[in-house]
Amino acid sequence: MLDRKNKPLLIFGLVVMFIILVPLVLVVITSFGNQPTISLPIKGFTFEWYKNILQQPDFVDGFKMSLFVALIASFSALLIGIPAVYALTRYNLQHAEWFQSFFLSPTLIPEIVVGFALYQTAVISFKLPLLISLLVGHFLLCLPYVIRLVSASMLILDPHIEEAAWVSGCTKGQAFFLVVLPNIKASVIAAFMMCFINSFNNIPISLFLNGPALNMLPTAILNYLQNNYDPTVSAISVVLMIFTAVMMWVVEKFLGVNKLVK
Amino acid sequence: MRKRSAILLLLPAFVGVLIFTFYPLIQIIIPTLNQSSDYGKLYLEFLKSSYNQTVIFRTLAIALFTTLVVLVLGLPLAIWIARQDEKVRKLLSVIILFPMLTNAVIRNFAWIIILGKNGVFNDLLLKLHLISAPITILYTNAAIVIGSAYLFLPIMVTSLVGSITELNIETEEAAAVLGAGAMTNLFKVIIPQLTTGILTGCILVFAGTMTAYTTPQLLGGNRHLVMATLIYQQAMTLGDWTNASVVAIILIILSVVIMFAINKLMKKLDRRKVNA
Amino acid sequence: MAKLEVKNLSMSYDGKNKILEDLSLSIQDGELVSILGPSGCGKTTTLRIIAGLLKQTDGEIIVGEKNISNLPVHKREFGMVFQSYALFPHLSVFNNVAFGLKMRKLDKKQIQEKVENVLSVTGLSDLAKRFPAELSGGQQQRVSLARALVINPQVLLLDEPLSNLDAKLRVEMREEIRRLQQELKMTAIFVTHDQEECFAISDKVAVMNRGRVEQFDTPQAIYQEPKTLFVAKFIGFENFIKVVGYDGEAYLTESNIKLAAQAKENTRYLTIRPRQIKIIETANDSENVVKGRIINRTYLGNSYRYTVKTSLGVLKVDDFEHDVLSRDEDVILELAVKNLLPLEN
Repeated sequence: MLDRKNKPLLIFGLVVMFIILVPLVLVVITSFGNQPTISLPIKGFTFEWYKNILQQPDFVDGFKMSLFVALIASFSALLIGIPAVYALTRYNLQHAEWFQSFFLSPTLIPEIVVGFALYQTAVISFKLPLLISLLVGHFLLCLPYVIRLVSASMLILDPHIEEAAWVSGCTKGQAFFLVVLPNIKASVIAAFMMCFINSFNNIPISLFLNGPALNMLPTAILNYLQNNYDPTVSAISVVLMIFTAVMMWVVEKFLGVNKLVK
Repeated sequence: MRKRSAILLLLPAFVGVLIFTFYPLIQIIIPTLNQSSDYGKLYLEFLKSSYNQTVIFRTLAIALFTTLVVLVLGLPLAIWIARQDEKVRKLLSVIILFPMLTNAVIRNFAWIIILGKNGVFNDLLLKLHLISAPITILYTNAAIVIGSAYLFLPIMVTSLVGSITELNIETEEAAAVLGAGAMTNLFKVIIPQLTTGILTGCILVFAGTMTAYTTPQLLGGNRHLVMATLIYQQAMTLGDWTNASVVAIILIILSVVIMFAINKLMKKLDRRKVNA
Repeated sequence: MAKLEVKNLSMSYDGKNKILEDLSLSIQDGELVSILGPSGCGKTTTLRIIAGLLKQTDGEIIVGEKNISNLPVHKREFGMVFQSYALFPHLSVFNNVAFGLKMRKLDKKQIQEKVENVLSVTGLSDLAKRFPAELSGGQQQRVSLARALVINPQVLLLDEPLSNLDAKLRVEMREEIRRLQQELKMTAIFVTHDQEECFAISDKVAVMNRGRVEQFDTPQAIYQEPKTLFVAKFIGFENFIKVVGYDGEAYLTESNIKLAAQAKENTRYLTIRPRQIKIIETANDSENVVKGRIINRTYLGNSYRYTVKTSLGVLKVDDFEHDVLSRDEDVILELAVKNLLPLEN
């Protein structure tokens, strides 16, 4: 039987878990070495590289910019996605499934192509500012998460509770905020986190849509890594891992991390 | 009345996707068709070049190998995780989720440390006297496969754990009573019930690897271009935006066709649900 | 609390298929009226139109003296109990009940007072701080009722409120609903597909079929004198004899037999309850006697149910007076004039 007591399965499981975790552990270790290039085993112990992060304007500005873009993109995806989900799940529309697929369609386009095509349309044809184009690109990245996660929970929610609220004297708007939203809160938070994390980590879309004054953290790390091989990259990686861990902890606190993948 | 409010609610998202996903696509397609009187000329030229053929083949091969590696590592791991007590299962799921939510640059960077000339892996082989001089792994196709597999393994595992926990373990017990060993059970009872989960995972991994930019860029170097990196190179380095569009369109077509095909296969293989 | 008048209600989604057709009901102040019918007959649609959750294609709804046909749902001042209870999962029992009062912007003290009052009337005082997920089905039902009652609605609407409860609780809750409705002198509409349930608690019953009211009467009248074939079938009549004409004295059946019964226009069928068919020893001269042969027998506890093949067709007969008869025995049946009811189609 392939259950928990199966020895080969246990060994296999542990080995693969090891493979999954070791690379990240190595990154953490290398961030403390005091040689000028990354090497293992490390010699000495230093926090120099962490201090060096702050000397890199690309990293500092990139962090701020990525944070800003991820927040705006995630919020606008919620703001635009939730009404669409509401219409799809509560209005008995004839082509609801078609609309659903339409809203999920950005996931079918390779991210690099989204960035590439958007650059030509938004920046060159529409003459939109680079920042706006970048936000649009990240919005397209986020929207499908909102559509998928929020519509799943809207479908579970009893539509009669809204009607009960209307009969009790609520307008449609009041009923949405007082009765629907509190009950889909978990999926909204989950969608927000998925949007935020994916936008914050994204490279391919930003690749075509960044510029000298518009520097995103992941692309900054990518560029740095292509030109340097010192433990500053390890240090910034560790900082970002802590950032991820904190976010996961927050999600766990509010609704359980497992909600993110459902 | 109701219809109007439904339309108002759908409109922003609809217009957004239309203007910023579909319109741009049309906008990049048109120049690739209008360059000459012969509509498909650019595409034919592109596909005739043996260099481009190599890139397309490399893209597909890397996606295929990555998917296989992820499946072989991911399936048993997913079974192992799914068969733990709830508490342990949750903990392991969180551990798996962590790399998934960590930036791809960081995860690729970790493999640069491991696979480089003076990397951990070469060190280890030298110390064990298995090799006498460092071997080249970084900046090869193999490195891209390893990096991609590392990137997508958590996604496969997470999606499989879900479907495995839903399996009725009594079917395996029934098979065991009838004389099936662990391996027979895996191949004759578990996997057949998981076709949908496995193929869904495969779609994610294959399409994801095929269209990924960061990993081939970091681990493949300039001599091992795939279609995603080729688009960037054509557009940004060579300034040939039309040719980049050709690659982009071919990449979209390939990935959508493959996803569609696996989806079809999935529906055909999954006989558990009665077809309505 | 007020009189409710529904006039010539029509409903159609596509303009062609009518879900409701020219439906009228008049409900007096303080009356509990049931709408009874099979699923798909339009009873829930009717209730939802009255509540304002659906918009009628045509017709009027008048509460008291006020025409509310075009009033949006949140301004109608009704209380409604849903089949799924539809409690707000994120609010405690207290806040579920207080919800409608908060919408009416009552001050805190008033809310507290009213909620506590209705919770005690519905026997929920101890559960005020619980959340819906922590309640049993019956308790959720009470909360749903309390939430509907607390705003002192003009009309209480109940949409199959008991169908998710088990049999024993169902009886208990329907008595509770009736008690509260009478105590509060509430005008109420109760939608159900269960005839026993609706007979037990209603002042009047509207039996619906295919978007129309087939009969609107007291439970007694409906039980004793169903007007149409559909109503008779729905409330459990089993013997139907098709008639083709009336000669001034008796009806002529399909099989050319004359049956005397109360004269009524548009009669298409005659019906009689199985226990009102008498098995008699010898054919006398009286009317409505028919010979038959027993083709099946079932023991029902206090009687035997015989299936008898006669020239009028197969009839079900319940007998608890005679000795047990067996299959293939010949019998003589009497269908007394007073028990034979004429039915419209």
